[in-house]
Amino acid sequence: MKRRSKECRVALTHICENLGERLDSRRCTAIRKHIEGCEDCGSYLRDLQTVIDLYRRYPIPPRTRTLANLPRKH
Amino acid sequence: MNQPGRSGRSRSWEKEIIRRVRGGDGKAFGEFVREFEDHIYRYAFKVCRDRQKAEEALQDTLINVYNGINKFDGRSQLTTWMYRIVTNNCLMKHRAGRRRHQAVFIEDLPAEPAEHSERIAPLPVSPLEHVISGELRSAMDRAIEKLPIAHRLVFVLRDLEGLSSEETAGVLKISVEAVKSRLRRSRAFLREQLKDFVAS
Repeated sequence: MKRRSKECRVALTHICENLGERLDSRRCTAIRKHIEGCEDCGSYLRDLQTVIDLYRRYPIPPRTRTLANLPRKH
Repeated sequence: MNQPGRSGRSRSWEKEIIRRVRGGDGKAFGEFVREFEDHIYRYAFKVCRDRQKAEEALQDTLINVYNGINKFDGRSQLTTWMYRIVTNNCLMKHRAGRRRHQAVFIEDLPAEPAEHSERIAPLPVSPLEHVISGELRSAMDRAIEKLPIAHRLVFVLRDLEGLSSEETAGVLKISVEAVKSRLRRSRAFLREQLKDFVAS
């Protein structure tokens, strides 16, 4: 078991806060570079993306009721 | 909300439909409903995790929109305003039927991803090739229902609805920092809860 480096901790926090955002600051670029070269962080990122993909694909049941009692006129 | 102003209908369409609904044009409200009902229901379901509650939230939201359209001042996007209404209706349903034993407390959510493991353990199986079937679906339901509602809302708005941190903050009337903090905890929590089902 190896201990996580400070870079990994920063990268993981960044992944969890900013995944899906397009951030181009120098700090973000450095973190992205770290993730590309770090197996653990890359794995963590892929896992999170998988979890999000699963929830996006979760089947929403069709509605069973038609809308009723909605206002029709003032 | 079909993301008006982002895709789908243009801002000028929004302005025009609002003007007509305000003027008492019943046909216009029908158009408005057809435009947004499906997306409202889907968003409500993602938050409520219950078909009946989502259907009720849809109906309540449309009534709120109709009754409150004169209060919409156009300073925020129509989308933001409507997300806020649906969210409030979902929160009311949630509070009415809250089952305390299923919720976790904020202190139980990891402050930092995988804080307790020294090494980031890879998750074991590869899921996306598979259909979301019974066991996985139940695990997903259990996991997201354990998330405190304030965190679930951030996860749904940011990761499932695709809003930015700033837009999410606008809908929930919280700071961008609070959005990021809740999102960080939510993502780490859901990954941990589903670790037996997903893998890199």
